[in-house]
Amino acid sequence: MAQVIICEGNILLMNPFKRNVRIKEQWNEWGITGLDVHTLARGAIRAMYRPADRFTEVMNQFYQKYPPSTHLAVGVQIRSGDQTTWHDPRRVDKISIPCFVDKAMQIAGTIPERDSLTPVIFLTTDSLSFVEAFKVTNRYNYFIYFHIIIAETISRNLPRRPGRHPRPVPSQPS
Amino acid sequence: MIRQDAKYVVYRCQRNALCGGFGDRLYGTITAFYLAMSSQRLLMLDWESPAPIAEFMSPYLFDWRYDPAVLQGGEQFHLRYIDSFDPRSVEGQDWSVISQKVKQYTLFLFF
Repeated sequence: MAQVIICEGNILLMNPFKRNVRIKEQWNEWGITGLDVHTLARGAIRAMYRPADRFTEVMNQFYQKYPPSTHLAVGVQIRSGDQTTWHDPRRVDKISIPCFVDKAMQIAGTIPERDSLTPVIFLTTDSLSFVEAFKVTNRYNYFIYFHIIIAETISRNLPRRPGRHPRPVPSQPS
Repeated sequence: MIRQDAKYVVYRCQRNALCGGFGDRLYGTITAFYLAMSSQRLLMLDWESPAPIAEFMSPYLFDWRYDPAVLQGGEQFHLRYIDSFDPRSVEGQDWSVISQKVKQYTLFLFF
């Protein structure tokens, strides 16, 4: 008989945003201090996944509008809770934007050249005001070029497969 | 093909279940990955919502495709956590050993 552990939820052993500080303390207790969580996460993702044809098919549509970049190093998603279909409470303030940029550049390990159009940060957000706040961030005196997509737009524009549409509501007899 | 003498970790996200968003699910699979590798279990992903994960991602270094037969008749242990995970909930595991293996595997995967 096979023994099975069934895992549900996000079961966090790691959390880069330290929402649960106890987890980080646990990692320290185990002596895992030489690897950051991003390294652990990237290792697992690279070992598990490669894009299927269907994924490539979907992404190619976005690449036509937003060309892929080998320089792109960080993805940032901000759920501001003001222009959103998500049901999260408002938890991010625009005053935090410089901190996001700091952290993103630290993770990226690179600073874009002045006036470079090379995208380093991929930003998705549900708030145009946050997009503007990112754009005015200029702490390094370098122009940071953002790819900006409103996340809701992505999900709405995903092509649907035949047979996966919800059934149309039959018209009422008159 | 299910090996009856093997131990498995199954990450599960079924329709109408509390899976969180995509980031949460990714964390879930990553944690399940390290849990499986460090405790020498085979990993399967039963990720069906909003679409089967195998539709968008293919297995790379190992085959994680889910086979429902794995749940037939065997001993099952459930972990359900959102935003936390208590390693003590996995009984009988020496986590100090497991944590070192996590580090070793990660170094192996990268270098």
